[in-house]
Amino acid sequence: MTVQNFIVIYNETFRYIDEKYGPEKLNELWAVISRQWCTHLRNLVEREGLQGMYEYWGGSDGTLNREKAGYSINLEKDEFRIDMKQCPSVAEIKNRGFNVFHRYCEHCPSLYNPVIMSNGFCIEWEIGMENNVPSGICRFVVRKEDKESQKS
Amino acid sequence: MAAIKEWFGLYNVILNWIKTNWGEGAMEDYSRHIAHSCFKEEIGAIRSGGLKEIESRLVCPMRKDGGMVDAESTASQCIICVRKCPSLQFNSISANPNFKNMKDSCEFDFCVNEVIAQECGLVFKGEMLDDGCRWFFFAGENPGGDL
Repeated sequence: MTVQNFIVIYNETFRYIDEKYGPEKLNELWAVISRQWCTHLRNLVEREGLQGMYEYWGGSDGTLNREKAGYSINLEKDEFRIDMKQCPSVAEIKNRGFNVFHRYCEHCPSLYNPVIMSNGFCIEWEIGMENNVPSGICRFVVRKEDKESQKS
Repeated sequence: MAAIKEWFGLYNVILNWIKTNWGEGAMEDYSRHIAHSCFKEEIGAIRSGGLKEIESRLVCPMRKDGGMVDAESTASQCIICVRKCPSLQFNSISANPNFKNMKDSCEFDFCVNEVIAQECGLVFKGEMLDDGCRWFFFAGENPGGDL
């Protein structure tokens, strides 16, 4: 197994699990990955909140720089936001001649939402699709959960 | 792109989940499916270029990941010695307790190699070593019998 082939295998793994075992099992796999794999993000969010998210995705050793994504990232007092203009993962699958599984992009919210929401934040996602194929363009915004407005 | 070595841990999470839910047979089915669906280009290149293509198609990606791999090809065989496996190395030092080296991750590679060999009219055999493994690709029958 190699890192060089990981993304195309990841994409095909999702398709395989969804078709062979059903969509619910794919959701279950993503929940397991979120618990077992996202420990670095979890530690950063628990410790530093929105700043930890900025460090995870946008810091000098952040995942988006390492993957050479085309994106903009913004951190304000109560809001963290990423606008993904060219997802490196979706681009790699397409550039290598593979079909992007139609649910491929769901893995991001499935992995990250449980980590972020369990720390008192809410998230909004917009995932771009073209003819039922992920476009590689998405946006997500994280805000501190407003407990006062939820009570009213 | 610099190798994102955390992905080695992610491979293990996926393999372990499949094996825990459906057993070893399911893991083999999955590995064979991945070989057929994700390695078509490699299979095509080795089919047309022969054993010497194995080094560029299967060994070079491991070297890009930081692996120390020797390869020796003749007209009838290609022997690859993985002296430092990047996956085993990463998982053995990772702070994430879920990234455990598992025998199954090597079996995944052996299974993928076996499918590639079959599709190319070759025979594959794999052998585990202490810190790595050896891969043998033979043209036709294995002339040496058991390894």
